[in-house]
Amino acid sequence: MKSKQAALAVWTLAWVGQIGSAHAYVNNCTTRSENDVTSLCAGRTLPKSQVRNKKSQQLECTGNVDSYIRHPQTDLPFDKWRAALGHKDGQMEAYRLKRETLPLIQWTGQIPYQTIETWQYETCDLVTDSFKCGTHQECHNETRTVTTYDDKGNANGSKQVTEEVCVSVPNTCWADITHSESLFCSNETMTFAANYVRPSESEWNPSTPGYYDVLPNKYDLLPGEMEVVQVYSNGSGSTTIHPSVVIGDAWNKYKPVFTGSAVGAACRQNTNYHFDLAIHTVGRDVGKASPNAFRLPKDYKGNAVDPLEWGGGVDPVKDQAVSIAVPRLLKLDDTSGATMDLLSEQSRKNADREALKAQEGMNIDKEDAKNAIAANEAKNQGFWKNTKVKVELIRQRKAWWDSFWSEMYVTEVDAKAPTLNFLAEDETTKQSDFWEIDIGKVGGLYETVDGKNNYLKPNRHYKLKISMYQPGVDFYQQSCDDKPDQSWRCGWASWITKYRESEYYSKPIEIQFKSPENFDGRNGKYWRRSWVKNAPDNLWVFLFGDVEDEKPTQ
Amino acid sequence: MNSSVKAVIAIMAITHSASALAQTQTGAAKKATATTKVTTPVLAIPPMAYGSFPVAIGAGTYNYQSLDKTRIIDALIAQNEKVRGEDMTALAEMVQQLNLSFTGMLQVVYGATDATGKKTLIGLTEHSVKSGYNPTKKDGKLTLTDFMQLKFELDRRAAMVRNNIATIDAIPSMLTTANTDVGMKDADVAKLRKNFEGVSLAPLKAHYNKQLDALLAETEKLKFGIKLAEEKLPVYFQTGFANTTELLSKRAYSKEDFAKMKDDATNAAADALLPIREIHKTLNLSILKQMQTEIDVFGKKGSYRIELNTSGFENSIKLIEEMFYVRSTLRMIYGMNLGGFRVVYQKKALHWDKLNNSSIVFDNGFATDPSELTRQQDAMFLALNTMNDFNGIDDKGKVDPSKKTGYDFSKLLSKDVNTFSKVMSIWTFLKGKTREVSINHVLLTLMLADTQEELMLVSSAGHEGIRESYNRRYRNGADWTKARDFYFPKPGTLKTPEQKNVDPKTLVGANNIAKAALDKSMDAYSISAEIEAALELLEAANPYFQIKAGRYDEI
Repeated sequence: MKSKQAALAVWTLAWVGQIGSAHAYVNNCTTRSENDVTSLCAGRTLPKSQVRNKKSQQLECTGNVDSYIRHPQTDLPFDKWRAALGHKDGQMEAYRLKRETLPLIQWTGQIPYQTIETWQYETCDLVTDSFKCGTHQECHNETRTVTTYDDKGNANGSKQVTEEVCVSVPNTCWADITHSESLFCSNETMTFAANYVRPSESEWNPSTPGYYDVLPNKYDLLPGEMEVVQVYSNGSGSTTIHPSVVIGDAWNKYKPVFTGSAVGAACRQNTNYHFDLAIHTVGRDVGKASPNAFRLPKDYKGNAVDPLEWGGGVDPVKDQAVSIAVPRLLKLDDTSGATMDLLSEQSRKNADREALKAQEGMNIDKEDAKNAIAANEAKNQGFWKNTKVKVELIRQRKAWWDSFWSEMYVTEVDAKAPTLNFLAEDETTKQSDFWEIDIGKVGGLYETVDGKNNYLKPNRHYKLKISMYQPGVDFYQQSCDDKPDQSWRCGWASWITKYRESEYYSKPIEIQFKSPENFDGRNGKYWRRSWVKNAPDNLWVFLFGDVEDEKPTQ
Repeated sequence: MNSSVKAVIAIMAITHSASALAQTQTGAAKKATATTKVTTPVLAIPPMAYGSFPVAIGAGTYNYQSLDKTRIIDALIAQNEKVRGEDMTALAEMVQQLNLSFTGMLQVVYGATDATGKKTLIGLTEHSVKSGYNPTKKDGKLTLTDFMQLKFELDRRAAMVRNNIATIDAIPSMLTTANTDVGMKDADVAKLRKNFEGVSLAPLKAHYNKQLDALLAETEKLKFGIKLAEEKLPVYFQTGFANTTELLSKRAYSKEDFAKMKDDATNAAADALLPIREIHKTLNLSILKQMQTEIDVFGKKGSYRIELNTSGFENSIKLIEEMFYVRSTLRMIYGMNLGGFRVVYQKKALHWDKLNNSSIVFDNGFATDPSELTRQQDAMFLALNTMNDFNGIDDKGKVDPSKKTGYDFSKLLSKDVNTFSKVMSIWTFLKGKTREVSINHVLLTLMLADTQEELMLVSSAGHEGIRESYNRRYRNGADWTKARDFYFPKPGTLKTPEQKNVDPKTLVGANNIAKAALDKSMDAYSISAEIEAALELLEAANPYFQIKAGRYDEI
């Protein structure tokens, strides 16, 4: 081995000649090209120092995104549509009315992105590397003391033993080392046209199984629902273009189809790539939590109404009454009022129809029919709209997490209030129910039923988070109490596995307010209101300040 | 005859009688009184000896004493000429007018072209059927509507022409201003000619009328092909315009058109149900909230509250009674369902035992269909029956006779007595026992009566039943006239500002909104009725509908 390597080294040295240094290192470098500065990007060249043995030169395109937010369409006055539903052959009439009036959901956009040229080149460097330069053996003699043994195996002295030990050592030589480099090439724009595909009349009409009157286009959104469609021109840097789409908070299962010059195209400079995105709706994504259909209230003329109505309170320690103490009424518009009322009415009509159908089948097989009727009675009673709302009160701190303060639940029948909304010209207002939630009552946010005092600390920021849940609406996830036979999770182990509130209550809308400085409704003269208990919080606010005022989320 | 003609004739009558009167008088006595009959002469001519006389004179009776008659005669002749001239001009105008309107008639019948020869109006003769016409071809025929329009146009123009002819007589009296006759019979009286005197316009009128009659007779001979709806009988040949009875009995509408009209009538009636939603959002909701408030104040663990605040309790009951009074009256007037209240309903009767002194729980939404209304009626009956404190049943379900204070509601469940009177007798009983009764009983009874009224409206009891209920509750003894005048002022009376309130949270406001909504429903029903009336006319001539009508007489 040693001799062979030595011979090779000598031969190489003889052939190439000494390079550069005074050291006699082997030169394993090969220069295949040195001056090819051509760039894939028109109008420039690559730096000369970076083109030796150039390889893997390509253009990569970056990806960028265009966002589009989709809301329920309100172009058709609800009353006109509802009147059509009540007519003879109303389902078809209402279906056609909606499809003629609602515009197609389509939009175009331009996505800017960049082309970037990447390549690899080699430099001839001095390296110590077994792979590139080979190894050589280095040997040395090693002496060590060894115990000697007699015939019987007893130790009887020691002696010195000398051995030769060899080690493979990497050589140092000149070798080609690869580097990767990238350089911006150009700014490009990709155009696209996207649309939600409206199924043809033969594909989706009132006779199609699974049809709902509120979904005449199959892709329609119900009040409170919203989708964010993000169209990507490409994934991250690649040499072929693959547009993609992500539909955020999707309420349906979709199948996107991409066509156009951009799809699968090579990444190039100075292009006018375009793609078309057709979003086909497969069906409703059943099992999502109810959407939050609340919005801040407006009167029938369109003027904003303050969502919080403040009321008075009594300071239990100082025994003083103050007229502006805490928010006592929470006012909101439930924009799902009319639609959910309609859905509930139709479910009851269908329930009657199903019961009739089962009854008609009685002559065929009595036993089966009886079971069918019983099953129907239990299941398909239809439902009445009975929206449930959770109001949570949290305390906000700067540079710290929000802390829970109190919460209450309220059902529709206890909160809905009479309103002149039906006079409004704006469709959304016209079809909304008006809620006045009494948060100041016993059993509300400040006083629990069993007498606990939850009044607020003065001069601090609090936030109301209001979520809603629509029991009985099959589109949305139901709790195990409302629908006990929906899945295994409501079965025998439901005390562990049942659906958590976050799975069926909607995301909240948030309303911030600040407790007034001059009112303290808390009790606990010697503890809760003491200087000692409040010191840490006061110190925190002194050091970090308090949170900024926020506008309520819609 | 139009009114202007009438007026003209009246004037003519007066003119003639006045002139007749003047003539007799002048003959009898040549007195100054005769001259007073002159109404507006150009000049008042005093009797004079001789010499001057006015240059121009108008019609009138003049007494003169002059030896020189010739001048007067000249003036009279001049006046005569003038009047004749006016007559001629007037006559020419009349004839021109008549010719014009007659030309219009001719154009309607024969068509019109303008100066360049382009057709401006298609005449009836061109619409009509000519020989060689192919009855089986669909095109080129008139629809029923087109034909009726042509008929209408012809009738209208003919009437206009006849009117023009008739009003010729009015023209003369409009030309003259004086209305006395002056004649120059003897030396004392000068008679001046009035316009068209002695000229009879009758021949002129007769001439034009005859022309018109001839024209109309021609149109009566025209034949028209009217498109009908039936495939087997595609064309009906109608002759002339006068007799259209048979034509109208023919089927001008296809069965699809007919069916669509029937659907339109039904759909219009269906639209009447929608304004009720506004009532759900206002009147029903505000009453519900009031009931919830009363339960809150008087209903929970709080019979003692009633004792402390009896007058408050009584006032609350009064307000609730008023609210239900408004509902009953709305049903009386409009005859439409308002939507019934819903309480939480459990099939197991035992569940109600736990309601001892606790409150009614309302459910969301209002009942609009009879099955739900019946379910609610059941629930309310059960609830009334099993509320302990009245029945003497304690919390554990045991009967404690000492606790039994009042009415045995189990009688409610017997079917022999009219259920409505049962409820009313409970109500009377309850009102006499305000201290022992709980708010739950009051509200349940009222809601029960309300639900029953809702059910009455969708059954054959109908308005009869509502009226009976209304009389029992509101006209026997108790004085509701004040409430009636406040909430339901008679139509035509001006409402006071407090009556115009539309705040839905108040009873008066909610009531006003409800009335407006129900008026919208009434309007929808009116539209439906109009379509149905038109349909009945179309049905009358058709044989199977006649059979149906006959059978109605048999039932």
